[in-house]
Formats: sequence, structure tokens, C-alpha cells
Amino acid sequence: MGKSSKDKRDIYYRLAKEEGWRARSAFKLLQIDETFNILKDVKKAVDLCAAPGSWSQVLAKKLDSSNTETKIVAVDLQAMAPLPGVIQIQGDITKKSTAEAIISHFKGEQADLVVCDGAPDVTGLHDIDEYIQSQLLLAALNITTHILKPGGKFVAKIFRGKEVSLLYSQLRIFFDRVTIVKPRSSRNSSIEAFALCEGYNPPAGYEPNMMNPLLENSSVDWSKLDEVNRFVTPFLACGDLSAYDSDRCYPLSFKGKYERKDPVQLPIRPPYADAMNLVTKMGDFHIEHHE
Amino acid sequence: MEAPTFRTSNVSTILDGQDLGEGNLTINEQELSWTSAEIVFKVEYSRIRKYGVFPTTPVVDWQKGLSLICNIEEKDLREIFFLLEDSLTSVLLILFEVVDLDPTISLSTASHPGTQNSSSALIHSSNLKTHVTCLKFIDQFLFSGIGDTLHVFSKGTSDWVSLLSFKACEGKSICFLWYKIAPSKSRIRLLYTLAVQDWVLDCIWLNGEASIAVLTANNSVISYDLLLNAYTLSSTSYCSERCILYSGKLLGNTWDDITVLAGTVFSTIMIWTNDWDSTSVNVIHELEGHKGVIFSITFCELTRRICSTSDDRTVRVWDVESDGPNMLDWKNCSISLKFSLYGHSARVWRNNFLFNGKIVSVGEDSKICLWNNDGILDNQWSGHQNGEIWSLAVSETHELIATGGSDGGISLWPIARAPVPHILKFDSSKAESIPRCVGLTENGSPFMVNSQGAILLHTMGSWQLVMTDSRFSSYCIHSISPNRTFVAFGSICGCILICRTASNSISKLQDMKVCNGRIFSMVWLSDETLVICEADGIFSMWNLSVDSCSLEKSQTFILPFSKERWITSCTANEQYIVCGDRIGSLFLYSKYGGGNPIFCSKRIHGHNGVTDVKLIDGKVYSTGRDGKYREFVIENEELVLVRCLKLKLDWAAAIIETKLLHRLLICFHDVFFVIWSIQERRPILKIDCGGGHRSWDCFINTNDNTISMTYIKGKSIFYCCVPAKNVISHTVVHGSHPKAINAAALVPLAQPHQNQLVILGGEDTTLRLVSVGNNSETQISVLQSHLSSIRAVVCFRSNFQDTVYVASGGGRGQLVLWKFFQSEKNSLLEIIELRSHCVIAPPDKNQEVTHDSAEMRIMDLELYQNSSEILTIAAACSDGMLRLFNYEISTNIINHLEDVDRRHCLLKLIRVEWDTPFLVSACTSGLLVLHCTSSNSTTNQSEKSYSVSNSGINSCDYKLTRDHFVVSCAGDDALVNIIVFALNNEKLDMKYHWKNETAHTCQISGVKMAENWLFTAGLDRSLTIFSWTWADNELKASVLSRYNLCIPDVHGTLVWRRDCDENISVYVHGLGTQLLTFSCDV
Repeated sequence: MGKSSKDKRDIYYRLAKEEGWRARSAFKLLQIDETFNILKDVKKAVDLCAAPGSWSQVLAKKLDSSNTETKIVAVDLQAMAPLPGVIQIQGDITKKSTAEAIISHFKGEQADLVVCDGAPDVTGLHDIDEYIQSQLLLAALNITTHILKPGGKFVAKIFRGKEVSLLYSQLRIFFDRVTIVKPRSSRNSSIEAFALCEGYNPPAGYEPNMMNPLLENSSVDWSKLDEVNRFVTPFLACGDLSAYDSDRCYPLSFKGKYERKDPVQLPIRPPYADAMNLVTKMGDFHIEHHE
Repeated sequence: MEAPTFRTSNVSTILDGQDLGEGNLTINEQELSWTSAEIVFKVEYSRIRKYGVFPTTPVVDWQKGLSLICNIEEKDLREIFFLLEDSLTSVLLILFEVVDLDPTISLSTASHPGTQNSSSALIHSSNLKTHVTCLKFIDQFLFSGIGDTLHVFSKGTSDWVSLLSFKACEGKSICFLWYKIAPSKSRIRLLYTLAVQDWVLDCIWLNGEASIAVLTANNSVISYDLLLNAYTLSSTSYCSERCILYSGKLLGNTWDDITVLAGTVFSTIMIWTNDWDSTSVNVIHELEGHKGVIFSITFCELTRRICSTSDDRTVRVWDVESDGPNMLDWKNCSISLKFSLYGHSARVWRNNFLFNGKIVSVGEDSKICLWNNDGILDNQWSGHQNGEIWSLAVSETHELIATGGSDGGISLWPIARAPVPHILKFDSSKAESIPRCVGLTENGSPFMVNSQGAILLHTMGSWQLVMTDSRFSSYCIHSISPNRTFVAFGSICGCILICRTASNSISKLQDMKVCNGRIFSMVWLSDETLVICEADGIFSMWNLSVDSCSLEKSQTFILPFSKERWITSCTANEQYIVCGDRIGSLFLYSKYGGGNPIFCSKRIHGHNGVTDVKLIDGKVYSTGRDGKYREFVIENEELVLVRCLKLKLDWAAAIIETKLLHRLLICFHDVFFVIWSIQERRPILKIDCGGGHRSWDCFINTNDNTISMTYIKGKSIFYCCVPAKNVISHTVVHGSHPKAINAAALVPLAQPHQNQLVILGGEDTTLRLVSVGNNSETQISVLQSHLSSIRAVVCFRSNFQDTVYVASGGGRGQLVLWKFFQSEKNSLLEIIELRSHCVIAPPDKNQEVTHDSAEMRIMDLELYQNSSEILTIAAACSDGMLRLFNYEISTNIINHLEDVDRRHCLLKLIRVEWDTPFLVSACTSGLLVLHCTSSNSTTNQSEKSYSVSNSGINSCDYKLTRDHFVVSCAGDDALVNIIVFALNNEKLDMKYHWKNETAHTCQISGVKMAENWLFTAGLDRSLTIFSWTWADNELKASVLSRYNLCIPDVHGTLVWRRDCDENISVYVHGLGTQLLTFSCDV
């Protein structure tokens, strides 16, 4: 395959490079904002699972940087190239110490918006991938309950799968409105969608607790889950129809002369970098002795 | 639950160590009692605190103070608790066999969460093929978890056979099953299911405690006490560092000494105990070394080693050192990284210690690596059709490794080092001679001819000189007869020497000059007939008579002129001779039709040549240096290609038929000598031989079940001989598509086939023909013409030709047309490729750049016939174009007719067979467009569109009533739509739009209408059946039944009811396939 074949297959991949975004996912947040105005009046925002940083880029661009109250905190398990105006924390958001580090940045303050575009490194076993994704979302929600102001918004990636309705119900306990949105830049064929949660309104008496998993929090009446389960969570495609179709392939010349661009952010050294050099064909092996 | 009484006599009882003699044991719903002449014991179930972990001895601790010994007369009566661990699938199965108690005295009290509501009794799963996520050897049996089903296999006389299969449980639960395997009757039964709130990573029995401990994905351990007829949560313990785990291992015998080895996503292995006494932190070791997510952790008691595998593609081995000589004290030990082992080329999913401390690892790269205790890679295989390997088990009894893959297959690999050929050394006096050719005799002894013309036989551990013939010193070719009785040598001057090979000798039988020039090649057709090829492509058949000691020429044939004009291979039957040449062509000769070929398949094996050809039962098989294996039938004196296998190996060298392993191909790939099994569709043996060689031989000896091979490398002769069982891998369950099945179509054969035939197109670029039976799915053929993933497949039966045509399409704009071929002579059914066509997107008119074609994918296809000679293909394309093509049957040419620009990626296409047939396309914008087609088969630009929703339509189907067109469609927004259009005068008016928004929670990808039912399947893994009626201008529809599917990533649904079927078959495809039976008459 040629160097430009990904440009041919994926219009948003190409546009991201042309417009300077670190990843095509930037368009997802932009399209959600286009339809729902989620970034309006936001001063303080948290980007959980931020790497490679395209959502932080969108936040940094859209939030008013001249305002001294503006604060953007980005968290990820992976290292991320620095972004002006963005405070970075490296850590696993399901890990207690990471959550505490995030919360400590908001001593006495509250965030207007929490976003999470994180996904696990998918294994291909859908049961696990969907479960881990739901746990990641719950971990993000748990952190959110510590820092989000009442009425604040939470946008998180979800995998629509077997048990997704349970997840909708869990979100509904904390937010007045939960909508499932699918930006045009997210492929039709993918299981990815976004939960747009508006109007943060935790149950009366809810005390955020970092140690207990959210679902065991005694201040939440989980029996309500069965009731809310009966609701149908609205599903909305967002971004208008004139937006580029992420499933469609466009010719390279569709908007004038094509020039191949390099990705804005080269991938960080992957965990398998060593192995990639040591094992190139069948039968290759290498022993690294320690001590 | 019905619980009949169980009674047995002659049961011994020991109470507080005192033998009370024999009595009668009675077990019924309420109690257990033991009665002898003097004493009566009654135990109410509610009083029994703990349910024992039964040892394999017949002693059962029912309760403190009371022991029962069942006086066992039959050997197979014994009691065992089984624990079947399966970390990644969440399904933990605990099985036990309760003496000879009928399982109807089951301990079941809880209902099984997998139990469907009553309406689903209408539908049941009859076959499932998907990822094999769990494997375990228990005794001599192999247990496997496939979807929600447990299968038990046992080794039969030659193959592994399925004994039992059982729908066990769905995620996040632990099932307790009773089973009994007996030659006559094997049974399995669910006792109860324990629902766990979290993902289960590991589970162990706590000895003597009659409880289980469960490790969950949120890094906690939960214990449950099992009472006789209930289970209760007893304790929960958390790691002080809460985080998500991808893997973990529980160690210990009691709740207090539990040690957890936890695999995190942040590359650390945390070891923790649930002892909180000393400090607020219960993590006792943190192992750093990996660079990614930890996917598996195991521990070996014997070597006191931990083995972990990761995203970083390594297998890491850690030494646990403790002062204590006996019990390992995890709190007071030091753990250090011993080795990091690199051998995988993708993520490593699982590892297991063997009984001797060796390690086996499997992963995403479909490799199985066997590592010895020093970290050396002892052996490595590649399996599961390049799919992922999810599960792994080892058996000491069978000396086997079992693996389960994403292709739904289960394979077995020998626990043995890879065979290493060794040099057969010469005596120093003969050291300067250079070996010219090498072979193996009747009993597998190597022989050679060297540059001095000496023929040597390797016997009794050294080379023995048989004879020296200087005619063979500068040039020598040889050929061994099929039964290895004779070997013929050919010289530069046209001399032939035929020798007889016996167990320890080679003796001269015949020596003659057959031609003037050099002998180019020789092939034995049988042990009596030798084909000799001389210069100018002349080759002759010679009959060898041992009795009269004669070699007589019978017929002569000639190859057409070419640069390298000699045969490389030859085969014959009573009628025909087929031979292959040095430039890749195959020639068919009539045995009695003169010297010239009657048919030629020019350069079919590429320019590097045909290596072997065999004619067996009227079919011709060939291999070539292009790495392909082909099958032909002879029809009308032509070779008709019916099958082509791309072996994904450098070159195929020979075809051998064996009793032991059926048809095999000898191949060379990179530095490996490979034996490839046609039946298994994969390599079954690889030997590192350093590369392809001028002279080599391989002999599969079915007398002593050994495989021997020899070859010349440099100036040395290498040889090895190994027992077949040490090197050959086996198949328990044959795999199918290793990746998602994107498309499927029913095959409308004219002659009814025993099973329904279905053709499947996959992400792995293969098209597969399968026969779907009630409890089995058999793969008939695999077609490999696509360069990229297949997205669409459609079948069409032409009444003109009485032939079934197939069109398939997918990535890179590739469209392939096929037809079914049914040979007159053979009952075989094959699919023949007619044409492969690349649809190039038309260049943008404003641009000069012509190579600028998009990476277009064909998303859906329709195929129909307009006239006796022309088929029309409609293709829905990802660049927004609906394209029409004509295929001319007589000329085998595809012509592009016209394009309709729909601007959005098209997803589905249906052709409606109305008075004036029309096409309906659906796209990512949620629009249905009806394209009227006129008689000349092109579309009419006056389309009519209808907006169904504002997100993509993934699937649609239709029914025609007298004057209405009822279309059902669904997609990304999870709504099920039924839309009725009135049909009159080519006008299509929307009459009714019915929607359901609660049946599915995720996108719907498979919609099918049959009779008055609508079947919808989606990514929420549920299948919904609606019944619908259209009457009095009103559409009424309601949910009839629902079923939880087992295959993820559903891509589509097929529905059929054949004349002989009582029920409707619903076949769902995605990551695997599932066949369901819908009893519509209930």
C-alpha cells in the first residue's frame, strides 16, 4: 500500500493532518460542540485519557486563553507531547493515586466540563473490551464526581455493546440529561459513540469516595437502576449531513491539489519497540538475561 | 425442582473414626440418611455447614463427625470437584461428579441467569462457531469454552471426538456443573450459577474450607462459601491500590494465606495479600520490567517461577527466592526478573508452565512458542490461520499443548523440541568428494552419489560404498520409484542405471543407454514405468520388467518449443498423461493420441516452473515454485482449474499421498522445510534446513510412523528421522474465518443438497463455502482471490445456464465473479473463478492526475440476469457511487455500464423483483433511494428517495405483497423500521412507517424478512423476532421472541426454510457464526 492510501481511505485522518490536529478524533469533539455547544462558557476543563492530545488541543483552542481562570488539565497513561496552556498528569485513571493527583489540582475549585475520549487497548474479545471500556468510563465518572460543578457537563466515549443500557442508567443517576451522540467523523461501522451528560446533579447525600468503586457507594440507591433502565436513551447523529462522511472514500484530488502531509504528532515509542527490532521473522528469538 | 430419591446399599460409614459397618444410603430432597441394622443417621441439608472438596479417594467428609465411605464396586464411581479456570472469558466452570448419584438430586436452587424468558423457547441455538476462549485438560479429556457453550473432547482411535456440549453460562458468573463421561452415555448438567458483580479473572478452591475465591478485574478477591444447597458471599478483600486488571493469578489454600499476582495496565505486576494487620498497604511486591499491559501471569511450584506476558510482546520469567525450604512465604521472599524472552511478533495473550517447568506462550501473532528452562526457544509453530490464539492448555498425559483461536478451531501440538537435522559425516578419505544427489531408500536410509560417481549408502552409522561409476561423476540426476523399490540414475551421455534398493543395500538391476545426449529429467509413474526426458522436449515412457530384467520404450511424446524444454513432473492414468515443465506450464496428452499435447495450461504456475503433478481418481493436482497448489478436472479433454491454494510459502516442491496423514505438500519457505497438510490447510511440520536445496528427499514411513528427510547443504549431507507423533500437530476442531465474516449468501443449488450451503466472505480476504447442518458446520472450500477484505457476496441461479453464479466484492474496488462447478464424473462441488475486475474510481474531471483513485470498497452487490448471455452486477461503493456492470458469459468480459452518484458511502443494495424490477440503495446518511431500472438494465436517473433516519442504514430486506412493497431496515440508531410503499405505475408512495426503538440498544446490522416474521440482529448481541402484518392500510408488528446471541460484531443475518424443514433457520454471522432454529408453529 502506498504512503497516501490512508489519506484515500480516511478523509478525517487527512484533514487532521492538514488542519494540525494530533489525531482525527479532534473532529469528534468539534462536531459534538457544533451541535450541542458544550464548550460555551467553559473555563475549567479536564481531559481524561488525553493522549495523543487532540481533545486537549480542541479545548486549548476553543477556551478563552486570555481569561486567567481558564484551566485545562490533561491526564493519560501514556506520555504526551506538551501543549501550551495544558497541565499534564501521567497515570492510569482507574488507579487511586492518579485520581488523587487530578483532584489535588482542583483544590477548592470545580470544573465546568470533563471529557474522556479514552479507550482501552482493544484486545479483540468484545466482551472484555466493552467491559474495560465501561470500567474506564466509571472511573472517569468517579473522578468527575469529585471535581465537576453542579450543572456541569461530562462527555465520554462509550462502546455500544451488550450491556450498554446499564451504563446509560448509571450515568442517568448523576446527570439530568444523557444523550448518546455519534459524530459524523466517527465511522458508522464502529461501536464507538459518546455519552453526552448534561446537568450534573448527584443523588442527595452522595459523597464522592475514591476508595470504593462507584457501584458500591452506599449513598447511591442502585435499585433505581431498574426503573431508569426502562427509558430509551436518545441517540443522535451529530454534525450536519454536509460534513464529510467518515465511511466514504474521497479521491485525493477532491478539493484541489493533493499534497501528502506527515502526521502532526508521531507516535510515541510503543511498548513493543524492542521486540519489533528483535523479532522480524518466524523463528527469531532473543533472550535478555537479567543480573 | 424434581428430586427423586436416590438409594444405594453397602455403603460403609465411619463416625468419629469408628467403623460402623455397612448400611443403606438414601438421599432425597430434604435429607441424607444412612441406616444399618443398629443405627440410623439423618442429616438435614440445612444442618450441613460445608460441602466438601471431594478427594479422589472415596472418603467424603459430609460433616464433622460423619464420614461416609461409598463401597465402590464399579471403577468409575468416584467423587471429584473440578475447577475449570478461564480468566479471560469470565466463565469459570466448576464441575463435579457425585458418585453415581443421579444428577437429578442436583444441588440446584438458583436459577440460571442465561435462562431465557419463556418466549425464547421458540428459538434455540443449534450450532455455534466463534472464538475458543478457554481450554483445559481434565483427566484424559479436553474441555473447551466456545461462546456460552462448553465442549468436552476425548481422544478416539485416531481423532479427537466431541463427547458433550452444553450451554453453560454467560459472562460474569461461575457455573457449577455435574458431568459424567461414560462410553455409553455422557451427561452434563448445570447445578447452579453464581452471579459475580465484576469480571472474573481467576478462581481457586480453598482447600478444606469448601469455599472458592474469585479474583476480579477491579483488583479484589471475593470468597463464597458453598453450602449444600446454597452459596453465600463470605468475604471481600481489596488491593490497597485500586485499578483495573487484565490478568491475575490466585495462590493459596485458605482465605488467610491468599496471595494475588495482579497484572495491571501500567506495566507493573502487583503481588498482594489480604492480610491487613501490619500496615494499610497490602501490596508486598511490585514487579517492574514489562513495558505494557500484563495479559497473563502464571506461577510454577516446581521451579518457583512466575511467568508473565504483555503488550510489549515479551514473555518474562521471574525467580522467587525464599529462605523457607518448604512452604513459599510470599511476604519474605525476593523476586527478581530472570529472563525477558522475545519471540512473538505481536501481543502475547497467554502462557502456561508445563509439568517440567518449561513455558508455552501464545498470542495475537498466531504463534505458539515453547521455551525451555534456560529461556531457549525449543519449538515454535504458527496456527489458527493467522488468527489470534486466545486459549491454551497443556496435558502431561497426552504430552500435548492445546490451543484455541479466533478461527473457532482447536489444535494440538506435540511437546517436543523442533527436529534438528544433523550432518552425516564422511570418512576422511572421501572428504574431498562433493555430493551431487541424495535420496532415501525403502527403509529410510540415505544414499548419495558424489562427484567421483560413487554411490554410497548410509547404513550402520556410516557411509558404505555401493559402487563407483565414473559416468555419473560430472553429472547425475536420479529418481526414486513411488514405493521406493527402485532408483534410476541418469547421466550426461544418455545412460540410465536402475538399482533396486532394499533395507540395507542398493543393487544394480539394469544399465542401458537410452539416448545420445544428456538425460534432462526422469519421473517414475509407478514402480514399473519410468518417464525419461531427453533434449528438445522429447520424453518417453519405459516399462521396467524385473523378471525379464528389461527396460522397454513404449511411447514418445514431445513438449512444444520453449527456452527450457524439459519436463519437471509427470503423471498418468489409463487415458491421459499430464506433465509440467520448467516454465510453469501444464500439458495434457492423450495416451493414445500421438506425441503432441491436446491441451496446454500455459505458465499457470508462474515462470519458475511446475514442481509436481499427480493424477488421482480423475483429478489433477499440481504444485509449483509460485507457492501454489492447484486442482483440476479433465473435462472435454481440457484441464479445468477448480481450486487454487495460495500456501503463503515460497515454493511447493512435491505432493505426497500418505495413509497416515492424507495428502501432504512438501514446501520450502525461507530457511524452513515445511510439510503442509491439505486436509488441515496448514503446515504440520517445519524443520530449519537453511533454505531450499538442489537435492533433497523426504519419506513418511507408515510402517514405523516416522518422518525422515535428507538434503545437501554446502558439501554436507544433512539428515533427520523423527517419530511422527513428536512432530505432527493435530486438529480437534477445524477453524473457519479467523476474522469477522462481513458477508454471507445462501447458495440456491438446483439439486437439493443434504445441508444448506452458505458462502461467506471475510475480513481475512477469503471466501468460504460451508455446509450448514443442524449441529455442525463443515467447510467445503476456501477461495483466495481477493486482495483485500470481502464486504459483499451474492449468489444467483441462472435458469438459462442452470448454473449458480456468485459475485463477491470488497476492498481495493475488487469485484470477482465465480460460478459453481459440478463435475459430471465426480460428485465434487467447486467454485471456479470466472473473472476478477478492479473497479477504478473515475478520475476527477478537474484534475489531470489519473492515478488518483480512491481506496474504494465495494460494500454490497446485486446480481441478476437480463438476457440469456448477460448478467448484470450492481455494486454499492464506498465512494458514494452505485455502479452497474454487464458480464458477458460467452466472452467472460465485464463491462462498465454506468454510475449513479449518491454522495454518501453506500451500505446496502437490494433488487426488487417487481413487474418492473428496481434497485434500492441505502447509505450512511439514512436515505433509501429507489432506482427504477428500465429494460436495458440501466438505471433511470429519476430516483425516488425516502429519509428513514439521520444515521446510516446497515441492513435492509423486503417483501412484496400484491400492490405493496414492504421494506424493513435498521442501522446505527438502533431503530427497527418497517416502511410500506404502494406500488402502482412505477410510482412509489410511502404509505406507512412503523418504528420500534426498544428492541435493540445498539446498532442493528442484520435484518431479514421471512414469511410474516422479521428477524433483527445487532451489536447488542441480541436477535429479535417480530411478527408483522399489513392489512387495511395498517402495519401491525410486535416482538415475538428475543435471544441472546453468542457472536460479537454481528454483520448480518440469513434466514431459510427449505421444503423439508419444519422450522425456520436463522444464521447470524460476525465474529463467527451461530445457527438458530425458530419453531414458528409453536
